[in-house]
Amino acid sequence: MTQRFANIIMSFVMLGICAVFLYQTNKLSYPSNVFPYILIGGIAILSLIILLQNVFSKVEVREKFNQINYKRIISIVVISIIYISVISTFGFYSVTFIYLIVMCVSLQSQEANIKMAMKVRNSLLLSTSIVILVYIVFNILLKVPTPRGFLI
Amino acid sequence: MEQNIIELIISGFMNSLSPYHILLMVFGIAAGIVVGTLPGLTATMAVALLVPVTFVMEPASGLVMLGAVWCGAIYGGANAAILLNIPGTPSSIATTFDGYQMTKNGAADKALLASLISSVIGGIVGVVILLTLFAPLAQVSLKFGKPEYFWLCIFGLTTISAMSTGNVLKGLLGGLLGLLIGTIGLDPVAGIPRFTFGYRPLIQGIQLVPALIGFFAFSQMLTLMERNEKYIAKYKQTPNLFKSLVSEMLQKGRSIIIRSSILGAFIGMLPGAGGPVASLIAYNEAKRWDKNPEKYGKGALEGIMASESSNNAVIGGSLIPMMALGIPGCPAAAVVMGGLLAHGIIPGSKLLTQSGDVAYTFITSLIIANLIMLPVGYFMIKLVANILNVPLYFVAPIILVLSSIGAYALRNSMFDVFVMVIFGVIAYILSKVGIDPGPLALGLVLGPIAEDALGVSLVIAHAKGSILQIMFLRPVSFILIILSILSVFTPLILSHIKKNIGLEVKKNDSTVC
Amino acid sequence: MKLKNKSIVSVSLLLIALMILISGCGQSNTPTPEKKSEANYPDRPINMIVPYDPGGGSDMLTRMIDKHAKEQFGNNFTFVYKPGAGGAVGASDIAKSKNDGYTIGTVNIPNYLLQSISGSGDFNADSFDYICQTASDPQILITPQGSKYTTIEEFVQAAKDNPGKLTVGVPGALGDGHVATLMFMEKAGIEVSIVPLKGGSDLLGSILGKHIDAGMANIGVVISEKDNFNILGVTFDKEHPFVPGVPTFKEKGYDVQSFVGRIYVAPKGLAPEMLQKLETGFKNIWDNSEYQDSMRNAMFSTDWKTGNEVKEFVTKYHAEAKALIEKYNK
Repeated sequence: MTQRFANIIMSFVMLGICAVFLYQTNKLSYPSNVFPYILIGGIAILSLIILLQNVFSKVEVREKFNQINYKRIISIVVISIIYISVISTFGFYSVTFIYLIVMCVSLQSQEANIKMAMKVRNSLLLSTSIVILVYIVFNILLKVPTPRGFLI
Repeated sequence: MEQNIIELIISGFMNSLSPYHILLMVFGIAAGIVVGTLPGLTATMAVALLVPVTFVMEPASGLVMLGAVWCGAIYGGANAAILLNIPGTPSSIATTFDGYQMTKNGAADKALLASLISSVIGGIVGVVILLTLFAPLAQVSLKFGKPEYFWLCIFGLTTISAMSTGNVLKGLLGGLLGLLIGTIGLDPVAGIPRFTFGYRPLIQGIQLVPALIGFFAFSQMLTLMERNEKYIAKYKQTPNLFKSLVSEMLQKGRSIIIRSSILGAFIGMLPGAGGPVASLIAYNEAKRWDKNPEKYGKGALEGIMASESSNNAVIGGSLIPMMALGIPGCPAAAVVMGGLLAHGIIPGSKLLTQSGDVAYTFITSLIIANLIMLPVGYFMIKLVANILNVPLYFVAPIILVLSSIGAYALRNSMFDVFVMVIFGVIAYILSKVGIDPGPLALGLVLGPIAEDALGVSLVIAHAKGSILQIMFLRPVSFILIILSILSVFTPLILSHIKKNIGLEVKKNDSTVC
Repeated sequence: MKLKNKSIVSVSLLLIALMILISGCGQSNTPTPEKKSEANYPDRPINMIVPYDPGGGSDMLTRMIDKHAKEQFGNNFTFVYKPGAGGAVGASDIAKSKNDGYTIGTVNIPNYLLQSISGSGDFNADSFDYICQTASDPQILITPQGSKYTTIEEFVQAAKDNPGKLTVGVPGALGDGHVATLMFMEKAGIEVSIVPLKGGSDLLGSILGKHIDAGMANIGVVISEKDNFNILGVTFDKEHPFVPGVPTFKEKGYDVQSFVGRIYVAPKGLAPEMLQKLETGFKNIWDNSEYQDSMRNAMFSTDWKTGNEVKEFVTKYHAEAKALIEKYNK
C-alpha cells in the first residue's frame, strides 16, 4: 500500500464521518449547532484538499508499511479486547493474571534463544509480582476500586 | 486584629518547616510522583484520593500534604511521558514531544532530570507569583469572559502548527477530529444529549483521560510492537549529570524557564484552562522564539523545560482566583478547595482576615514542597529509568494492564476501558496516515472549553443584539485574535524569508501531500 | 515436554493460590436476601454510590455522615464514585442496583429529576425509595456590584421594558437554577436570556467580572463573596439563615420555591423495615451536634426531611418542572 492510497482512503473516511455528524447536527438548534458546523466544515475542506492533492499527484512514496509485523499487532488488539470484555464477568485480578502470562509468552515468540520453559517461568514470575503489586498499590494504598467479577 | 502579611509569610514558613510537616511532604511528594507516573491516574485524582485522609488531620497539616501530592503528581506525569511517550497526566502531553525523542536518542536520564529541575523552578515561580500578586491578578482573571476563553482556545489550537512535524494540513485535521470527538455527549448550552447515535453510555461523553491513555499508551504499545526490537531505547547512566545539566540549562534556557513559568501561572489563574493548555502554549512559545525552531520535536531540551516548568507553575496560578475569589482555577484546585471547606476554611476575599495563618502555611509549604521534590524526585528518577532495561515483551503487557486500570479507576466504569482501547486503535491507524496523537489530544482538551465558551458567548450576543461587539471587539479578545493570526503565520513567513535568503530549508519528507 | 507439563501445573496452582489470597482480602459479594436478614440488617458494609467526583460537594456531605456511620450501621460506608453526565450515570446505577439494602446512594434534587425529563437519564422519580434529605441549598438572585438592579421589583421592571435583553446566568443547562429562573419568568410574566454556565464557580466569576446582568446561584457556592454583589431575593419558603434580611420571592409575590436537596435514596423495592432503619440511622447522625457543627463550618445548611416528605416534594416538583421545560424549550 502506498502513502498516496492511504491518504485517499483516509479522506473518504473523514468525509463519511462528516456526513454522519452533519445529519445529526441538522437536528440541533441555534446556538448549539454553530460549533459542530464549523468543525464539520473544517474537516470536510481539509479532507478535500488532501484528497485532491493525492489524486492529482504523480509522486509515489513507498511506505515502510510492509516492515510491520501485522500479525502481532492484530493479535495484541484481539487479545486485549477479549481481556477487557471478560474482566467484568470474571474479575480484574484473575483475568489480568492470565492476560499477562499469555501476552508475555506470546510476545517472546521472536526470542529464539530463550527456552520455552524459561519464557513461561519468567512470565509467571512477572505476572504474579505485577498482580500482587497492583493489588497493594491500587487497592490497599490508593484505595482505587478495581473491577470485580464472580472470581476475583 | 489585622496581621501583617510579612509576618504571616514568616510564620507560614516556620509552620511548614516543622519536622512533622516535612515528613508529610516527603511522603506526599513520593506518593504524588507514583500516581502521576501511572497513566490514567491524574493529579486531580491523586488529590481527591487524599482529601478524606486529611479530614482527620489538623487543617494546616492536611493542606500541606495535599499541596505536596499535587506538586508531585504534576511533575510525575513527565516520567512516563519521557520514558514511554505516555503522558502520565494530561498536563504532560507537551513533554512527550521532545522527552521521548531524547529517550530514543539515549539521553533519558538527562531528560528526566531536566524535567525535574524545570518542574521545581516552575512550581516555585508559580507560588511566588501567587504569594506576591494574587489580589491584583485575581482581578485580571475576572476580565476573561466567555468570548476571551473561546479565543484563548483558538490561540491554543494554533500550537498545532508547531507540533506537527510532518504536515500542517494533517495536523489541523487531527486537531479538528479531536474537537469533534469532544462534542459527543451532553450539549453544554442546551443540556440535551447529541451525537450519541442512540447509544446510551455515550451521553456521558468521551472522557479526556481514557481517550488520552488510548491515544498515547495503547497506540504507543502497538507502535513499539511493530518491529522486533527488544528495548525501547539504549540507556546508560551519564556520570556527573547533575552538574553538567544545570550549567547547560542555565546557559540555554534561563529565559525559557522563566517565561514558561510566568505563562503557566497566568494560564493557571484562568478558571477552566489548566495544565494541559498551559504546557502546550508554553511549548509553542518556546519554539516560536527560538533561533532554531527545527530542533523541537527531535529531542530538544528546551521543549521539556518549557512544558514542565509551565505545568508546575499552573499550581500556584490556579490558587490565585481560589484564594482571592473562591473560584478554583482547575479541577485539582477545586478538590483542594473542598478540603479547605471541610476544615471550615472559606476561600475568598475574607480568607486572609479569617484564616490567614492556615492559608499562608499552605502557600509557603508549596515552596518547601517544591524544594523537597528535588531530592525525592532525583532518587525516583534512578528507579523509574530502569524500565528502559526491561525487555519490551514485559513492558508492553504491564503498560496495557496499567492503562486499563487507570481508565477504569477514573469513574469506576468499564465503558471508559473500552473507550481507551478503541481510541488506541483509532490513533494507531491514524498515525499510519500521518496524523499524530498530539493534535488529536489537543483538540480533545480544548474542544469542550471552546464549545462551551462559544455557545455562551452566542447566547449573550443574541441577548445584547451584536455578535461583532461581543465576539470580536472586546479588548482582550482582540489581542488574542491578533496573537492567533500571528501564531499561524509567523512560521510561514519565517520560512519564506529563510528561503529567500537562500538558507536551506529542509523539505518535508512526505512530498505528496 | 515434561517441563511444559510442570509449568502448566504450577500456573494453575499459583492461580488458585492467588485467587484465594485476594478473595480473602476483598469483601464477599454474595448477597443473601433472606427474611431473617432484615432483623440484623445491616450486618456488613453498605455501598454508597456517589454520582459525582470524589472531593465534590456530594462526597463531602456524605463523608460527614460517614464519620458517624459506624455507630448507627455497624460499619462505615463503602464509597463508590460513579461520576458522569452531571450525575445521571451514578443515579442510573443506583436505580439498577439490587434492592437488598446494601447499595444506597446520594442524588440531588432536582438534578436527577431534570435528567429524567431531558432524556439524559434512564430512570425517573419512581425508580427510587427515599430515605431522607439532610441538607438543602436554595438559590439567590444576584447582580454584580454597581448594577442598576438591586431589588426584585427593579429587575422585573427592567425585564418587562427590555424583553429578552437581560442575561441571567445559571450554574448549568437544565439544572436547578435554570428551572428556578423559568419559574420566576413564568410567575412574573417576564422574559430573560438564560445563560447556562459551568457550575457555581463559573457563575460567581461571571458575576464578579460583570459578564452577565444577573445570576441565579446556589447560596452555598457564592455566599463567601456576598459583599461583592447584590442579593435580590431567595427562593426559600422563609428567611434563610445564610442571607438574613434578604426577601423571599414568595413575599414579593412570585411563588418561586427551589433548592438543591441532598437526599439519600435506595433502589426501588427495599423492605420497609430496612428503609425505616436507614432513615432512623440517618436521623440520629443528623441530630448529632458534632455533625451539625461540621456542616455549619463547611457552609452547608442542614435541612431535614423524612423519606415521605422528600417523595411528596419530588412528585410535585417533577410535574411543575416538566411543564415549564416543555413550554420554554421549544
